[in-house]
Amino acid sequence: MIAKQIIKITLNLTVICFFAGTILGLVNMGTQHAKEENQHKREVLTSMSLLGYGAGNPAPADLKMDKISRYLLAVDGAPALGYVIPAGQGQELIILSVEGGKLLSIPAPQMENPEINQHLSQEMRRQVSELTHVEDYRIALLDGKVQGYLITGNNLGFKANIKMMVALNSDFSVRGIAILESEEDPGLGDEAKEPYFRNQFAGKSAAQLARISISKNPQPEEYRSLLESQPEGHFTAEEMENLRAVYGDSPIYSITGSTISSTAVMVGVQKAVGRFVYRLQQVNAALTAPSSSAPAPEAREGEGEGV
Amino acid sequence: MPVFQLIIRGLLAENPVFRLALSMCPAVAVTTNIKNGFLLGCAVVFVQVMSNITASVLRKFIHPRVRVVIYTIIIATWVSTIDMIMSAYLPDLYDQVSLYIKLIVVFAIIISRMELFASKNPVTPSLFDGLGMGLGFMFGLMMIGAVRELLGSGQLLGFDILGVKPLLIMILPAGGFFVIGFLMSVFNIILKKLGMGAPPAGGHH
Repeated sequence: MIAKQIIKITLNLTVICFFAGTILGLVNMGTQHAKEENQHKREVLTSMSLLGYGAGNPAPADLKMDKISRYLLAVDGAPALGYVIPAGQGQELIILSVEGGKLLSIPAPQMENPEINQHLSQEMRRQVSELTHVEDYRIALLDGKVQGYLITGNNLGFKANIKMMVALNSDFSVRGIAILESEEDPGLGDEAKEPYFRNQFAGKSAAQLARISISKNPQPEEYRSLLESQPEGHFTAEEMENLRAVYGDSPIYSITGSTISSTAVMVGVQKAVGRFVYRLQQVNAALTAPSSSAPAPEAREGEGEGV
Repeated sequence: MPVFQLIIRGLLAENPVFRLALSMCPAVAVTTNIKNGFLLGCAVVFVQVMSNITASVLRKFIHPRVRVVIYTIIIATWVSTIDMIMSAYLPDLYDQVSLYIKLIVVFAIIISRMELFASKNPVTPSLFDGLGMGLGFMFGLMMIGAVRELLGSGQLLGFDILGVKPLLIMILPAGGFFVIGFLMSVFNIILKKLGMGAPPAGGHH
């Protein structure tokens, strides 16, 4: 009798779960592509908006977006860092030791994230293994001059991860931030998307950003109206200067009732910017310094095979 | 029971917020303005109707010992399906409502109506019971949102009405409790005057 009950209940639940799983799997399959496309579109829109371009001020046609991709990998079994950077017409994979010393550099003309392994030559593949793509940094260039950097940050919010995008000026001061994905509560942590919160970061220099703290005091009225005067964060250069001079060292005023979410966003931005600046300096230092172990010439020649 | 009566019942006599006192957590957390209340209400209407229909269709198949587990699976399936479809094909709307949709999985009102009504009734009444309860929930949230928005931010639907913020506490969680308590008592006094007694716990079976 008991065995019969167990079987009946198990069957009942199994059938329901099977159908639920099938439905969800099919829906996911059907929507995956469109969803990713939307996410990509949104990221592009957000990046353009953060750089100050929008409906009223379209991006110039010769605005170029370069990409630096960061990888984790192993060289001869030891962990190392890899950066795919634009070099001339193509790209280059430079490999740094954990301490920042340059180990190798490999031309990687068409290296795209998922297939990176295939574009490495046989020789390289013997040394380099466990390539894992971590993130992309984007650089906006106009006539060869850096207009800004776009980086993404992640931090645990009240419930789930908050994914944010930070735009930096060429001097690494913050141009603006945007929340890309979050599951904060509406009316509370979700207010981080509102201009009065997110525009607080605009204008802060990297040094100011690194030492700011969170404040639970109410935001001064004139500061708030200044932040809300540009809902998209498209401040002019003078307004940015003004923001930095007057409010650069003011704390981030937290959202009422959502100190955890506010802190999460602030720390996420701080971490993202701090790490990016540090890594970019490392890469720049490696590019100017001579390679500690020059890549073997045959490795360079064999590179083309995998492409 | 005629279908329109089922809807009226969900709106007034068995209003989920003011009469059944179910799903009070979102009623406090989300209702800082009318718009939030409306969007969450829309999402609840949809999930409640779909879940009620599913539970009603499957009512002879579901083993009574594990019905709660199965209801949870049904709700979660619907919520995830809507979430995925909207994010793929209605990205702009999804930006507005995605947070609300994800909250619905754990709403007491939905599982309560599945258990008390849809599990014992045919599909059509279950559909309209879900519609009525969903609309009642939306109505409750919008009422609370209106009072809190007006007193807390001096606005209605985002438009400045008062020009000042008379009671900032109203947009804080504490304000939510005050407003719900106040509106609940007003609602019940009015219904009592109209001669409606208290509903059974969880609403009509």
